[in-house]
Amino acid sequence: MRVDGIIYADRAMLEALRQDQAPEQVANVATLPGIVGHSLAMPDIHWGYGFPIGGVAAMDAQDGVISPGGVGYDINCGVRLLLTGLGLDEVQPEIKRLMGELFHSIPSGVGSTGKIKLDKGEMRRVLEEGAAWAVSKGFGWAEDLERIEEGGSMAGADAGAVSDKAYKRGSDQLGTLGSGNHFLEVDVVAEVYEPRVAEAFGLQEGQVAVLIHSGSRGLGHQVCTDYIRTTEEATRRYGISVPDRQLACAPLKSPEGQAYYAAMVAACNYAWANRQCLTHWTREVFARVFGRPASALGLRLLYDQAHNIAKFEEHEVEGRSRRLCVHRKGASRAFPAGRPEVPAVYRKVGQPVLVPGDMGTTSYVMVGTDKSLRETWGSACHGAGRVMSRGAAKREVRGSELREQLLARGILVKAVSDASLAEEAPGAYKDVTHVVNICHGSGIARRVARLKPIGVMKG
Amino acid sequence: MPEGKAGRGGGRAGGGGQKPYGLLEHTADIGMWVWGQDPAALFAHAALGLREILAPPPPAPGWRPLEEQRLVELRAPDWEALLVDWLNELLYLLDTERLVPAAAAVELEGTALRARVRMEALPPGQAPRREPKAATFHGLTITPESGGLCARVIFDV
Repeated sequence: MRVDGIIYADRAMLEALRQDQAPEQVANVATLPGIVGHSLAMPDIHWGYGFPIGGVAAMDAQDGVISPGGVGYDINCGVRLLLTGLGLDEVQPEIKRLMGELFHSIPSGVGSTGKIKLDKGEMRRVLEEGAAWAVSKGFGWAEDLERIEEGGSMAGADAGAVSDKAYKRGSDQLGTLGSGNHFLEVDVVAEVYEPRVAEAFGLQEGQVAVLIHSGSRGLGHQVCTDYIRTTEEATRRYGISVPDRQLACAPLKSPEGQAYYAAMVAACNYAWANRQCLTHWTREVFARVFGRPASALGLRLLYDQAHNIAKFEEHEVEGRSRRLCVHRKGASRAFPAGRPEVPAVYRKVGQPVLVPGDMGTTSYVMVGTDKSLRETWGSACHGAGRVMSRGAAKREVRGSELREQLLARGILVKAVSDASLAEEAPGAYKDVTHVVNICHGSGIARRVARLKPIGVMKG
Repeated sequence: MPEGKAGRGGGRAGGGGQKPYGLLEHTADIGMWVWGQDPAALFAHAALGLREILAPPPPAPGWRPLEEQRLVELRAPDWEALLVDWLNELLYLLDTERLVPAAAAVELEGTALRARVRMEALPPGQAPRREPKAATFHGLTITPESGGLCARVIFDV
């Protein structure tokens, strides 16, 4: 190990981690050349591919490496939260129709293809422009871009660094939710912890909101698959020794490292365009169901953030500013007030940090802090983290039973299959409140509000 | 399926008997074990193991899936990378052409693979139960076992 590893956890979580390979993965990441500070893991830590899920590692921009395993197969898997001007009393009577129309209008599930078919020229624009492309085509509002990490359009994309295979996979998947743990959820703001920050975000108790969790779909998966192989060869060529093949890496300054970064950015932009299209169709459904334009319903974007990404950022290291490549693998950026990267509208209070939980319980909105910047390169948790295999989850409860249980708790679920629903049962995940409390208690993010689901759509 | 051609190892899979593959449970994802009496058979069986993971819907009564043949040619520095490439190529065909492997005739020359794969088209509007993102190197092993080779592979779901 070149540096120490630090895992954000409490005693109960540390005890559970003894059974998990994730701490070993934290140690493995600490061997990467050019790593600065510590190999970090957030409290939603569980084992991943090379990096643990919840892993954060910053590499020196001159001497460090970039690793596709430090971003993951679902490049820019992320989450966005839409707010509405609607209250629970207006939405609850329409929830069945609302969820039915969302399920009908938004492609989801295994093998789903979208309503948008792109030729290669248009795909190139998506990869270079991201959410801005989507807005230019009428999918959403210009003001949305101000509330997306990187403006939804990250600089440095090279569409030419993306393989033909990745193009082919992405050509008919734009505007699809995906499957697995991807979802669209209608929530109500159940509790506000910091009224001042909540007001700056536009959150209030009883307000209905929509949480969307999706990523770069097959295009991103293929980019990662392609570059794990090419960076493996680079790892050997540059004489880098890694304890795990999934930590294959290349120097940031090398042609291989630069090619991966440029392709990763392109895939990030695809994911932002994807979530932007999903937002547009969500707005259309709300407008249809409630009989008013989305703008009149106050359906505005609070924030969109990535949780699988590598980015160049300026951070203070031993008193001086240094340019680092920060890998966040199942971790959220959590910048405090004053940082120029935080949207101007939130710069006085700090960046929103969206933490989805499992479908049966709760999700959180947090805010970034100065402490996060000092300790975790401005990072915090991203969700709950699995604790149970999919097979075990299905043995615990049948999908149909789970639907009934959730309905009894006031949560209407629409899912493509009962099997996929059971695999995502709440018991398969850590308690997100436990994860959030550790972040809050350690000061790397603060709780702002808690959301409770009333309708969930899973692929 | 035609008989495997002479070469350095030829493996076919698609016949009956005890399955030389099965699922492995994993916390966040899914894996499989696969066995073959030689490397080519291992790779041929891996295609069927992947089919088991995908769990395509059974055909409706009286409906016969459309079949297509695909030729896959790959080269990798070692067996593990070749196995990952092979499985990921099959996932690519699923994602782009909605084809699921039904049987494979594999020829290996060192760590170069040439395979004729009988693929079944998914019925319109139907999807497999699972959609792995990729086969990974995590925990990947290929080891001698029971007179042949056994591989364990984890897929990111």
